[in-house]
Amino acid sequence: MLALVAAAAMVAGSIAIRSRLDQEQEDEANPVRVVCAAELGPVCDALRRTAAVVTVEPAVVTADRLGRSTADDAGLDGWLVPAPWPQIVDIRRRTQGSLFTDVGPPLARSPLVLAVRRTLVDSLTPGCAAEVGWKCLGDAAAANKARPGHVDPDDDALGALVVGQATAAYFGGSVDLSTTDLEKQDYARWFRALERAAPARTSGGSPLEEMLGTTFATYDAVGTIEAEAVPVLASSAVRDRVVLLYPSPMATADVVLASAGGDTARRLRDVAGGGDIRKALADAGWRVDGRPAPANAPPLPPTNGLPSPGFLDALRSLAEEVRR
Amino acid sequence: MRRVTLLLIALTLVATACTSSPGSGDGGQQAAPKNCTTVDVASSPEKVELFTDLARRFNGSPAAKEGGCTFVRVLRKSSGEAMQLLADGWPNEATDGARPVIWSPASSAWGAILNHKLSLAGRPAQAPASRPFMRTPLVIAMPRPMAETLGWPTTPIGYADILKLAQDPAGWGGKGHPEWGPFRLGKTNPNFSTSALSATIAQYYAATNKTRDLSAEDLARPEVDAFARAVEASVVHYGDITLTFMNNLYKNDQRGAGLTYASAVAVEEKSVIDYNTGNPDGITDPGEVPRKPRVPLVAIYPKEGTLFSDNPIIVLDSPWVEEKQKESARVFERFLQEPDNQRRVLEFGFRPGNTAVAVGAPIERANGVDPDQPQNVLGVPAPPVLAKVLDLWAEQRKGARVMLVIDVSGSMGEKASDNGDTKLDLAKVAAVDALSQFKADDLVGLRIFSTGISRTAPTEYVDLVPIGPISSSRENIANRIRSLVPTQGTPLYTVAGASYTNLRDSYDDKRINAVVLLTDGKNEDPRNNDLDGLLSLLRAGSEGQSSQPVRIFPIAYGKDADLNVLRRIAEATNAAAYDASNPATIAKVFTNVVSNF
Repeated sequence: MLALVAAAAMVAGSIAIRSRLDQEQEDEANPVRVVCAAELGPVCDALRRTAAVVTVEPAVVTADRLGRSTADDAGLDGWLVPAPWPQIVDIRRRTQGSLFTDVGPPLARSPLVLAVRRTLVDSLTPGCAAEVGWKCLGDAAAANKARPGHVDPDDDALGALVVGQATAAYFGGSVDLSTTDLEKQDYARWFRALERAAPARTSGGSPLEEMLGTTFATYDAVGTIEAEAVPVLASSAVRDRVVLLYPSPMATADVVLASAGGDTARRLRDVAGGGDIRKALADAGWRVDGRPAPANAPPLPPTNGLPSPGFLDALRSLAEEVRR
Repeated sequence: MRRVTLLLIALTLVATACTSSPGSGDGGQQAAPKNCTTVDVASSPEKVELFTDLARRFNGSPAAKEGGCTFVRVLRKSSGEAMQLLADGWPNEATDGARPVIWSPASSAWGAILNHKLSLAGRPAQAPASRPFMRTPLVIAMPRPMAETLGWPTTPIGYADILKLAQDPAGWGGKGHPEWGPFRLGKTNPNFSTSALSATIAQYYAATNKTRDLSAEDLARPEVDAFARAVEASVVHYGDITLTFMNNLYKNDQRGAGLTYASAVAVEEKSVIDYNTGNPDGITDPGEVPRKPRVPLVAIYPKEGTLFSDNPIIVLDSPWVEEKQKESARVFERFLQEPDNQRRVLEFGFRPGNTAVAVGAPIERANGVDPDQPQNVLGVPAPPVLAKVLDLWAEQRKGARVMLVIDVSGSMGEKASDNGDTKLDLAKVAAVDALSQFKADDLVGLRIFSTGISRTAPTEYVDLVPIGPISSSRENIANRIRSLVPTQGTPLYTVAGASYTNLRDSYDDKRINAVVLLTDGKNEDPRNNDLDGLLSLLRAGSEGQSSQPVRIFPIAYGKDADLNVLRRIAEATNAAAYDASNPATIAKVFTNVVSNF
């Protein structure tokens, strides 16, 4: 009896090993093709060290291409990108069909934050009803009392998220926002002032680096993600002159690995969702399960807290129009 | 044991190879050590000494061995010239230097212009968005007494205030200082120089009362055009680099005449520090002992805002750049961002790109600059608008009145290239090409010189084409140049003095009055060997508030030209001498000379 069980186990084991070897051979012969959002910086370098064939490009470039593509093969098996960009692409592809039926759970998250010149916080606090946040900054920008900035939604994936949070702050929350809200005159005036308060970009660096590097000559407040702000401010020579705020409604950028599902999704998760990528995300300042949050940082909200993907895409177009 | 010894020797050789000094910034093309990846860097001139220093440190550091061996060489290239070379595919490494892997213009605006030009030609972009290596704001450098007259440091001063003064016929007389003469603006050629490009953009912003989103429609408005032309009319002369201005200002200052050479110069903040510490060109020559100026400059940070030169490290996507070189370039870029190296950046008077390094000395008030300024910045216009700015400037710039004076002495008939071209042949091609850079209403004439070239007095020179509108004489001048042949000796002093006197006697205060003097030899005229007399003549007409400045821009052509004497002639007229000791560079040198107009 024992011999029979042992023989069966050996057969099962050999089948499993064979199957695994076949799978590895298949993976080697047809490596998964992953597009990595350039906004993720060194995380894409880590991805390059995996078995995947990696293309790095700005998420908005990928989104524009995929949104228009009618080819059977979109040229990628997976996309490592901040959400909800895969959903934005699928909304644009209503007629061609969805590409990203499998958007996995976030690999890492990072709250959207405001880095604000301390003197500006001090001067705005008495007049801001609840907090120095986007609503108050937009009002101050309209009065030429603040120059808030953020990455351009037209060329950076995070830009749409930041203006989404700002807009949610204006309307008092992200729930139930509709694109018709974008047409409201008071909002349009406020948003235009917010977007046009600071000069157009003056260098290739990030707005936060630019604010610090020009000692506030360009911006006096910058919306970005915690993953950038915490390490940059920690090493900045002028960190004492900046306050890091987590404005309401709290929102997050969530890195996801999106694919068309099926076996490809499994292979993608093996290659691009593994420990090395999570470590690279953590090293880049993103919050990853099992790693401590930065000191004094609030806990993460259960959802990303952003308006819907369609709303964000419409808002991105509005921002482009206003900034032009 | 023997194997270990051999291994140690080999390692030592590799280490030595990787610690050789970098290119000196003058286009030095020394070979990279064996097995090293060469990364050629085209750097804008004002930071070439810093870059060369950092490249030397890098080549000798463990970082250079990261992932193999990287060897960095630095080549000095003005931002505009490098942009044009990249747009043209960097066609000639023999005359233009090695094709770069890294391009570091003074401003990322040049990268945008390059990509725009490539796009118009249906070619892919080559300059990806890149992080700043360091920053320095554009300022208006002004002699301290003049700035104080305008209310500095308590009254904020704007571009509009300065440009209004530049257009005032009363000049400094309207501010109670007639002894300073007219307001003279020092500004370089925006096709070459970033400070000039930034100053021209700021000028348009001042004309439109805007601080961002300058548009092509704004530029086309008649009042904006009139404003720009009026400002350009106050320009002393142009030029490819600001360092020429700073050197001339310094030399005038040492003679006590600084206030009448230029009232204000658009430069980067770093140049003010260099000037005030007695190093006006920012380059410390061997044995040079800095001596502070008599009258320091102060940096005016325009109240409307200014532009930053962000000095990006652009790892080029050019066809000749290999992936391995890009990887090595990124290793060097990371090295540059290290705090220790960013502190070196600060020592050279730039603001660090790495925000971990605080702005401090020498960026301090004692050096005429203010670390808490500027308070506002101007937006960099979109690439098509930048291109339009350059196009318009070519029409709106101050007109020129120039005598081209070409040496046709016997030595110009010497062979200068492998295919049998003589020095004169090469000069003729370069001079004819340079004619296209003059605008239609510039006045240009052609004079040739050699001993006994004319049977009637003056026997040393002949005017082939009198000074007149180039729109009607361009082809005539070109044909005359093409037909030149070499003859006798070199009456350098006589022709320099006579050309200067001729232009001064017919001085046109609405134009830049200048002589371009190309010569390949020394003065060979026994009847006139009086250099001191010539220099006295030139200086006498070039100094003082009522001077009628005629600039002589000599080109020292070929290895026998007397560059030292030509420099003294140039300096006596507050101009600059150009070195074309390698005849193959004459076309490029001619272009740089004509950038003064």
